[in-house]
Amino acid sequence: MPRFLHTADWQIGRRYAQFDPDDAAHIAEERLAVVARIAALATEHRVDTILVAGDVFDAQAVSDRIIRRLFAALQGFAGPWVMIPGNHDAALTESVWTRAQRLDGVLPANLHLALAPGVIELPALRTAVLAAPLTQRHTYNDTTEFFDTTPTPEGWLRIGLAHGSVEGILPSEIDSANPISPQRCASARLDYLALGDWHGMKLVNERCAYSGTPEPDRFRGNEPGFCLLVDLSVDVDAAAPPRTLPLRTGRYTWHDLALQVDVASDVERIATTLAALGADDIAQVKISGRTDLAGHRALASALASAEAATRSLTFDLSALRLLPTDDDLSALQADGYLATLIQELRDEQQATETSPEAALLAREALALLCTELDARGATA
Amino acid sequence: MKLTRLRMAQIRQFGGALEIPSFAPGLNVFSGPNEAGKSTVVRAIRAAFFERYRSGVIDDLIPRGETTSSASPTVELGFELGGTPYALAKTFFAKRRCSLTGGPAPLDGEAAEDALAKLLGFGFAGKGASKPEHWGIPGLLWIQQGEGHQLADPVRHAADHLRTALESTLGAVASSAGDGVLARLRSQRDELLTPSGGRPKGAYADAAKALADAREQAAELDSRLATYRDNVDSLAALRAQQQTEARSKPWEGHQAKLRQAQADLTAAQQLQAQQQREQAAAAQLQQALQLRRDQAASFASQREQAVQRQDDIARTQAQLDAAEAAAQSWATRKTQAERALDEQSALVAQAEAAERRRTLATQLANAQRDHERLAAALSQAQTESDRHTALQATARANEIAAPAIAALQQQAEALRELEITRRAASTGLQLALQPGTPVALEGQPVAPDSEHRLGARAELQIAGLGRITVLPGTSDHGDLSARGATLRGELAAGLQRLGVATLDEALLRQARHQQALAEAGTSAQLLKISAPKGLDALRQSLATAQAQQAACQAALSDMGADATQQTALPSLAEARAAQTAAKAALDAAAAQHLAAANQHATAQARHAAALAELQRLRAVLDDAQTQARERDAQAQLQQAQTRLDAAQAGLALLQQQIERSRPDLLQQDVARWQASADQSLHAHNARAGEIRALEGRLDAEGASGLDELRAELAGREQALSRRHAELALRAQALDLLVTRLEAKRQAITRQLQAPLQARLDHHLRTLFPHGRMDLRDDLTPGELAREGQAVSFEQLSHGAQEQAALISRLAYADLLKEAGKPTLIILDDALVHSDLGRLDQMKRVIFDAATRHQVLLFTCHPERWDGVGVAARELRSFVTGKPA
Repeated sequence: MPRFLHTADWQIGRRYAQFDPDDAAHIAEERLAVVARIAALATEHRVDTILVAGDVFDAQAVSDRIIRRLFAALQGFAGPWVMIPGNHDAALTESVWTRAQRLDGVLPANLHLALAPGVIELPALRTAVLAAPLTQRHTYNDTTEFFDTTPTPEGWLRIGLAHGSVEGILPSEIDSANPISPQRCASARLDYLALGDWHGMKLVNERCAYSGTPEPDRFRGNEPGFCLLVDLSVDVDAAAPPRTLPLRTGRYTWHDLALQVDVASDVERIATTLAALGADDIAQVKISGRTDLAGHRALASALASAEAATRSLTFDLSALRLLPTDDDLSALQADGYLATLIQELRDEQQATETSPEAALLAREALALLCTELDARGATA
Repeated sequence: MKLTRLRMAQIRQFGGALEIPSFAPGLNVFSGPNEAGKSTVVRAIRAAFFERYRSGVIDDLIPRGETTSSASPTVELGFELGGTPYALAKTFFAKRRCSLTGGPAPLDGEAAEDALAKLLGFGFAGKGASKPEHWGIPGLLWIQQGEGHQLADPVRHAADHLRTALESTLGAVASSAGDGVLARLRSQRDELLTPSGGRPKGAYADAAKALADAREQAAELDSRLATYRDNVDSLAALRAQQQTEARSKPWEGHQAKLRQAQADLTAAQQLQAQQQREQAAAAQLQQALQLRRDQAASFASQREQAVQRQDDIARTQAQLDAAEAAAQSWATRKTQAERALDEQSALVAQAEAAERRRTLATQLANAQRDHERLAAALSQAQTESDRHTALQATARANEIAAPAIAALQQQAEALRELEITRRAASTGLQLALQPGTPVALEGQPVAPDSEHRLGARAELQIAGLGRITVLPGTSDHGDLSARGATLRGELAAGLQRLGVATLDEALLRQARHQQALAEAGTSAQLLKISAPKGLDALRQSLATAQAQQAACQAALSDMGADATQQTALPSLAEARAAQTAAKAALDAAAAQHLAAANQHATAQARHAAALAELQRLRAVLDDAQTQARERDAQAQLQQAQTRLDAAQAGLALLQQQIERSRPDLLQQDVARWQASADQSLHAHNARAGEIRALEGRLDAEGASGLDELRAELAGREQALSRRHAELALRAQALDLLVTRLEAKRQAITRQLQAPLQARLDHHLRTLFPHGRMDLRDDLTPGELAREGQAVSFEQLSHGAQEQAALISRLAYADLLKEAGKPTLIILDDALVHSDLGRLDQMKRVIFDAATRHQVLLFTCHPERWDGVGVAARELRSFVTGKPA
């Protein structure tokens, strides 16, 4: 039975400089590593071909070095790779692909690159891949239309390879505009339509799927980090649907945590959550609500530990209101006008609706003051 | 706190003891001269409190001559504090000890000292002598000599006590930790913000800069990326164009069109050439036709000519007749004119003759006159000439040399003079004899009535009478006579030479000569008048005139004709005029006649010619050959015309064709298609070049990994932005904290200071009724304001500073007292720089203060402190025992 691996949206060349440079290097590096992992998986599962449905590169003007490294990473699989450009790496007259072609010996022999719409024939596998690459920066028409009228050799499998958004299925915040008809599988009599563009793995219908990006690349969820192992039945008349198995390829897990603190137990809960993060986690944490100084301290401590434990952790406590209790204040030995000020700031940080900036400032000031008093208390 | 008694021994100059058994509860004034020991007393009190009894360094207490081991400076004092009486005894050095009684339990040694410190509000030095920073409240209130004006340090050292006192009076709103926290927060804030302007600095500024740089870089990269993308798009467009063109090859189309246009043009040009040829042919035909026409025309003209000739003949005949007639008439007229002229000429001749005669007559008359005149003139002239000659001769004859005459005259004169002399010298002889008497002088008869001069002996003979001999007397009479004789001889010689007898003759001659000359001159003039040119000329003129006269005569007589018709004759002028007119008429007539004759001749010739011509023509015309030729010529003419018409029709057609083909436009088309073909090919090649260039640029740009860099930068920008925001928030929060804390602190300070300020004002007004002195944050006096002027404490004069400082201290004392702190005031020689006026006011202040505090005032000027309400006590009165 023909078996192939469906992947897409590798976004090679993406940088993560919003993180600590060290973390960023690891995260970016992982994108190349996953390609090698895919190759290894393909070899391991003895697939016939690997279909890459676009957005191999994150941008056109990536460095030559990256280009070389990417194509070198394909070595792990000796069988045919079929790739199409997506919207990030569209097959313009001058593109990352033309540059790769100019670099000597970079493109491996087993790579079938469809820079123009057409059919890629794999005679050994009796498979015809109808490839719909994107050839413009912005495409607004259905590039897969020609599938319907394109003939392929009799008895061969018809596999579609395209990059775009299936109309009516996906939410509107999608990368590119190029629509793909939801009927394409049927109208073009495709055995399987391998799609790219949507970074989460998603089965559109029994013959059509998005593999999603093999390594998560951002905080938005939707199940990235997979590639699809697709088994097709040769017996076309049986019209049996292909079996699609997601294989996990992603290393890092990206967590976008919005946590709420209202009571002391929330703090514990959050601390536990944070403690659960490990070396392969990338997290951004926003904590809102209110806590007293003890809770604030506990959270700060939990965050510091988590920051050390994870690949990357960024946090935002601006929406967390500090409400020092009287005990807190006496513990801090804040008397006289210090205490008065603390009270004032405590109250001011409540005014999040009327003057959010002032509230934020009050919160920050309060935190600083308490920290200072705390420190002094610690040293005294 | 109030001191009740004091005893001190073995301290400095007090080798023995000094004891003050009692103190007034208010003001105590102690006086003493210099070196009486006032300061020693103060030192003793201070040492009792401040110095540790064990202290080994305060050897200034030791009396002279003693040592630390021999002396035992002792101070005992009793004081009352908070209603409780205390007794303090302290001995230093040799027998050191310390005890404090009166409290809950008696205390010794260090315990006593520590209790004391706590009671009074001061501290001890760790080791060594006590220093100002330990003196606390007493340091502020016990003013040492010469340090009255210094306030800042004592206040500082007592600050905490003051504050505590201030706070306790209020019930404490301050914060114990506040200042420290504030300082730390401030330093943290100053790391991020400039203290003066609150502008970012340090890490905050760096973050801002880094963010700005990142943004700038991002913008730059964006523009590069934009350029890159634009270039990619351009490349796509160019490639597409190139492909399309490569397929369509527009230049080929152009070239085809070019060829077509060229063919068309060639065709048109050929037509044009043909046209030219046909035009040439047509021209030739035209010429031929013209020839034939000429021929035909000549035949026709011949016939015409014949007709014309006929007319000519008639005409010429008429002309001939006319001319003949005219000639005839003119001939007649001419003859007439000739006759008239002859007549006139005769008349003229006659008139001329008459005229001539008249003229001649006149001439003759004139000649005669001339002749006569000239003759007369001649004779006159002749006469005159003769005269002249004669005169000249006379003159010549009478010529006599003037000098000779002059000499003669001279001689004569000399002689006369001599004579006179002689006469004078001579004897005179006057005779007045009777007439008739014959008298002779020297034999010469003389008249009887005369005078004579005798020069020499003379004899006078009178007839009948006898002789008289006169003998003159002068001796030189003979000389004179001799001279006279000489002279006479010379004279005579001269005369002879001249040929004259006497001088008078000579003179006469001369006169005659001159006269002759004159007359000759006159005569010459006259002659000149008469005959200007000379006689000969005159004679000639005469001759001429004569001849003329003769000629006239002859001419006249020649003429001889009569003058019978003289009266009927017109004048010569008239006759001449008439003659001229006649001549003119004749000429005119002759001319006309001539012209007429010519015309006649011409007419004749013409006529003859015409006749001849006609004959000739007739001959030709009648010639059969001619007729035949004529017919032939006509036929040929027709032919030629036909041919020409055809040719021209053809030409017209051709012209149409040519016009339709528009060779001018075709010319342009050829140029246009040529240019288009060239241009499109050139553009194609140029585009190929452009594509290559663009590819090269894109290759280079692409290799630099712009998108990766941009992504990197975007991330970095995000991180930097976050950091900047964090720092900004931190800076702002710190600033907020610092500002608020400072404000709070200041408010509190002001609150705390209020009572102190009130006390200060109270005391100050005693000195300056409308004055006001601020307190600084450190509780020292700030500005003193009075009468609109504000001066800082340090700027006051020394005396004023003393006063202000003392007033402040009193204010502090009031405050401290309210807070229950001990307030003993010691003034060691205070207010030395105050003038008497101020001093008076200060006395009031001190007096007022003394109602609340015990004041010990030491002075060496008791008189200055008169009127302070208390008698000064002399210090020496308290001395017991021998001095050191």
